[in-house]
Amino acid sequence: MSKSKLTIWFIILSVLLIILGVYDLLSGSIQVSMSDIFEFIFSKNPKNSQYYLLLKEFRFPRMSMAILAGAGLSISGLIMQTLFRNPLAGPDILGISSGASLGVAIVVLGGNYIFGNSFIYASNYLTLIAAAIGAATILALILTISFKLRDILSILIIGILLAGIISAIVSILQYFATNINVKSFVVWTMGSLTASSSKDLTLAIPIILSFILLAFLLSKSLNLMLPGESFAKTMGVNIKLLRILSFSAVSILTGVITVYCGPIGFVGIAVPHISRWIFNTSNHFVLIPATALLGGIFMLCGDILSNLFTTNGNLPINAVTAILASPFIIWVVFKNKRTFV
Amino acid sequence: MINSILKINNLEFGYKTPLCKAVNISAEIGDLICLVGLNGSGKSTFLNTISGILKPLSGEIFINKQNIKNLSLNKKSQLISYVPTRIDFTANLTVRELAEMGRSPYTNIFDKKSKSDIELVENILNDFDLLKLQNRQIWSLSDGEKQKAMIARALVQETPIIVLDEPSAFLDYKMKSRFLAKLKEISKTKSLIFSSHDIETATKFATKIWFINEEKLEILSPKEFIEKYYFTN
Repeated sequence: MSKSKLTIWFIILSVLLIILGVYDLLSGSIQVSMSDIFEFIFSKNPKNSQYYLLLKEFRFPRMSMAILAGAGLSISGLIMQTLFRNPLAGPDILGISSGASLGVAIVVLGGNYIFGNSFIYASNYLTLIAAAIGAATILALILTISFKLRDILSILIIGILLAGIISAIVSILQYFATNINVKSFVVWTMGSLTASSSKDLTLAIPIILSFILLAFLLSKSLNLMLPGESFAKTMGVNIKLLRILSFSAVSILTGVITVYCGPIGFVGIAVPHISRWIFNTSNHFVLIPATALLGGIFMLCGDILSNLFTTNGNLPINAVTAILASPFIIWVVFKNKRTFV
Repeated sequence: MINSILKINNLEFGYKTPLCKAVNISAEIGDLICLVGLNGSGKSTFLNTISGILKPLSGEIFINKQNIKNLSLNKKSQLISYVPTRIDFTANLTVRELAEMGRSPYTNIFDKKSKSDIELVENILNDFDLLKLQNRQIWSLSDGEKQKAMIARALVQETPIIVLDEPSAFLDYKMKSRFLAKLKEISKTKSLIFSSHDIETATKFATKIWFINEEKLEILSPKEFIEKYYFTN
């Protein structure tokens, strides 16, 4: 793809992201007009403080979270697919999001045993901390394993098995938990972009953006990984360091996003394929920014759709993304008759 | 010799258990060395060890008088390049992009290439008749074209030593001798080490034979090798 064509595509995607972002601010159960949004963005002394509050505390965090989560998960998926040289790899494959789920499951489902019989899950912050600890534990485990094992496929297998063990533990916890807590947990696993407040964003934005930047800085090494690991090694790539940095980026991105939005599936697998298909390249210097933009666009579409069908609240985002993403993967696979990494 | 570009002292290589012991050899600029040995004798392991993919079990490898143990990975990739038997990948990578990867040991973290980098890449692609294929995806090429692209990339890397693991394994007989003639030409200014099963063709072009035989590495001239081993078997 020529440089000018590349620039045009990036402009199109950026404009699309902005349009969808604004549309996302408009959508929801309470009607908001364009002038409210302009007022929210440009005015320092908002006249209509009710709408201002709605936008500031609910809509804007929801929109930002959608973009950040889409971008972060998609980039995680891209890195995993390159490192494992497997088109089906995704951020959930290393067991990171299951780790976060386990943390949440222990707090929400096992709360009766930890905090006494009258425990009813309520605290949002407790979930955040538990999910972060869960994700970090699995990350530490995966990093230790990647030191011991040379073969990247073995790490993949262990990641999948870990996820299996964790989901078994979660099932057992569900079996023993009270109905009300099971419901809270199931609702959490459906994912939600609305749980985050503007305060959460001040933490999430810098973390997610800095790890997306880190991923971009790994582009050269990731490109050299495309023909294979031994090739990369003879080209001067420090494989161990690359693995540590990229696994950390993936785990922290996935972990943080799962903490705030719940486990969101399919986006991480699908979006890298869409961007490879559009840009017809495997060059990470192009793919990483492209995947970030497309990931944001994808999640915004998901969020807008989830608001479209209900007048009261929204559909679980996890279900919407799965329905949106899977046909894309199938379509891309059929169209190309071969899968890329 | 003291000024050898590649000098190997008392090397023991293999996976955990040694395949070959007490290897003491050197290579010079202008050498076209053919590595021969039976299946499983450790040819690829040896090549992987000198190109730094595997760590030696014991012993020392010097490139340009520097012990490779003390060299950074990046520095090492400026001294020795490696061409695998076969490249199998599904990534979207054009011939041009692959050739440009040869400059990566010299570029910064953003892989910014200078004008002279681009010129070098274009000259080498032209030299290998690859310019008309430069925008083709690697996966769409024939085996011979793939192999040419990989070697072009190794030349772009501008290393004094190039290691090739069975470079002619997937080439037909016509391509094979053209290809070896090309290697011969390249080896005038470099030190080339390649492994091969096709002893007849290889001995025609090689200046030296390294023969892995019963856990020892023997150094022979092509003539000596044919007289001593090839016809007696």
